Amino acid sequence: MSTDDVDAWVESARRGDRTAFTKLFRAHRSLITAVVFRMLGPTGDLEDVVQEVFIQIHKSLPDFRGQAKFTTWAHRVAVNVVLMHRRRARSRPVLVEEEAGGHEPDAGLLPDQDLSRQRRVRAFYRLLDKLSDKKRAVFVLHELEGMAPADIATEVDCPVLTVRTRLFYARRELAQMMHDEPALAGLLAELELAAEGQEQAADADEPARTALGQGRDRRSDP
Amino acid sequence: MTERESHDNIELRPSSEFSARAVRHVVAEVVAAPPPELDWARLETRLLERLESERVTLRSTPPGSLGALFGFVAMAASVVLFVLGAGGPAATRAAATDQLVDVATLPVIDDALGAHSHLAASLAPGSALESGGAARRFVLPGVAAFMLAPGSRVVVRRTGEPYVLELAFGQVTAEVVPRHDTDAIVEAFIVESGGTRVAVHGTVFSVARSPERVEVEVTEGVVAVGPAGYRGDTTGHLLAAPSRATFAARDARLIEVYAPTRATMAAAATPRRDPASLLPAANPLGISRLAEPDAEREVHVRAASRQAPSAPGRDVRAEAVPQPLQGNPGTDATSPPAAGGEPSAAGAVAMSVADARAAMVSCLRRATANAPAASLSVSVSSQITVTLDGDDDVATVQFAPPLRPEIQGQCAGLLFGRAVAGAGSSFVIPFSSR
Repeated sequence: MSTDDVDAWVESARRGDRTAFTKLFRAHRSLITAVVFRMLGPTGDLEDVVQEVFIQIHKSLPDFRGQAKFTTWAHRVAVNVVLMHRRRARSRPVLVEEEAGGHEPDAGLLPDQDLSRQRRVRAFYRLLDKLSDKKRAVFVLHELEGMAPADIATEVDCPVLTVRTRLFYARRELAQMMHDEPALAGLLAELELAAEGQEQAADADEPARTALGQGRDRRSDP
Repeated sequence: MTERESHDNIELRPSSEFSARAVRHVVAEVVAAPPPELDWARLETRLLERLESERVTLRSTPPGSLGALFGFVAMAASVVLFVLGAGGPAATRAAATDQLVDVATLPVIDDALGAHSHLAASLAPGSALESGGAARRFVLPGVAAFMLAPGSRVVVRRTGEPYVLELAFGQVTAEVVPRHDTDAIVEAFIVESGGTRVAVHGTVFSVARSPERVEVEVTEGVVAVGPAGYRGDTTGHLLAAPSRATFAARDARLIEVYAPTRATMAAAATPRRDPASLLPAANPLGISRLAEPDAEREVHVRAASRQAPSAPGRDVRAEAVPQPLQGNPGTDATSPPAAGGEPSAAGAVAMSVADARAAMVSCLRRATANAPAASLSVSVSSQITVTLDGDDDVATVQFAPPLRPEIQGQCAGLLFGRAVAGAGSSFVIPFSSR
């Protein structure tokens, strides 16, 4: 798929060519799904939101001027749709915790590693959902989507300094809340153990290095 | 150094280094996590179907009024629905696939009140109904009855369950037959228009629209208002009677929640009519009473209700005066509305969070007290989240998990129209009984 292909499909889709739009969909569905998944986390709404993104892309095609790559523009549309979805979903009744749609592909990890990772990811999204919507949006856009604070400021319509402040508090709150999530508290314990192990290893090396240094000093004495 | 890296170097790190490292570790895992494999074929099919349906809608919608239409979903009980479309017959272009049905060819039946109704059970998807110069009433046995106001048009989009009507223009009023066979949420009857859907959970309610907005008034039970176009049950804002709220027609975004009006409260306090008497013959559902000037009057009532109990210079909401929540309605000017009495417009004295919790728990205990059989032990548990608007007035009441609609409506109705002092933007009421 070359850029020229995409440009041609966009142009045809603008004119109502459904086949061209289908090609755009097939070429970008994985990218869009990844964006939506990162922003929403494991959720049963994933398929609906992905569909909504492509509906919005279809509606907005006449506004696409080609100043940015189609991929960049589609990413931005996806971000907007997800933010809108979060706003709409804020007060909807929740019946049960919804499971993610589809099947998670094999990440090449051992089963227990994979399970631990999935638990951590789910726990992390639970913590994200405890943040205020504003902080969550800024954190997700910056940390997960890699957007610069200036771009986020444009996206969420607030000053850059506000973005940075929200980011600071989001990180701090997440760090504090991690202790309350067993899956993440376990990770903390692992990190602390690993740090202790490194310190002990360093301490064990220290006498040898000291002795070696002293020997070198003695050899250098006249 | 990228902007992201430079930003990370700013001293905005979490205090605990281990926690910060753990956050970074999990963030890296999240970013690296592959998204689930969706059923691409199904998604593509759904997407193309939706694009096709929107193309048809575009053809059938007057220029400039797409998104200015609105609709609602009625569910599982007696429902009154009132819809005002933005367009008019002259501005409408019928979709090529829609077939206008000659109403005169439909069988006529009389209901318990002697009202003439057209039997609409034989209509197929794509059938369009127009009322012409006079209001017309249609019955879907076992599902609903609906009334088209003069100069209105609806199109049947789906038969079976749910039954879906699309409002092209004008007004439609619907009352849905209660569902007693299940406690589960069932979307039996739907009206969609533009991007808004209103789901009714055993409710008497009305919906009206101005060019950009949809107004939902609930007089009994609970409604859910959310965006159209999603699979499954309608999700969105949950409103419990008596309440009234305004939403953006385009995407069902909540704009404002009003305090319930006297009329709403009185209607909520009136026992529900026998479902068999769907739609009274005389002035069915009082369509003309739901015009825009009424909304202004209700805002006025809301403002007046805040000021009335207060002496000059006093802020009654700041006092958080505990009020008896089950007093003698109609005689105590500070009592909230309660079933069986004429509510007072001057009843919006702020209650404390403790009062609100006590009222809700008390109501839920009463409502859930009776087990279906003496040998059964019924356990009921729900977390009720009450959100307040900027004036400390109760804006939404959410039950997670949901309880039976009539219980939600009955108990949430105690809080609507009341201000809660000292609660911030929301508070939670846990409830559990056995």
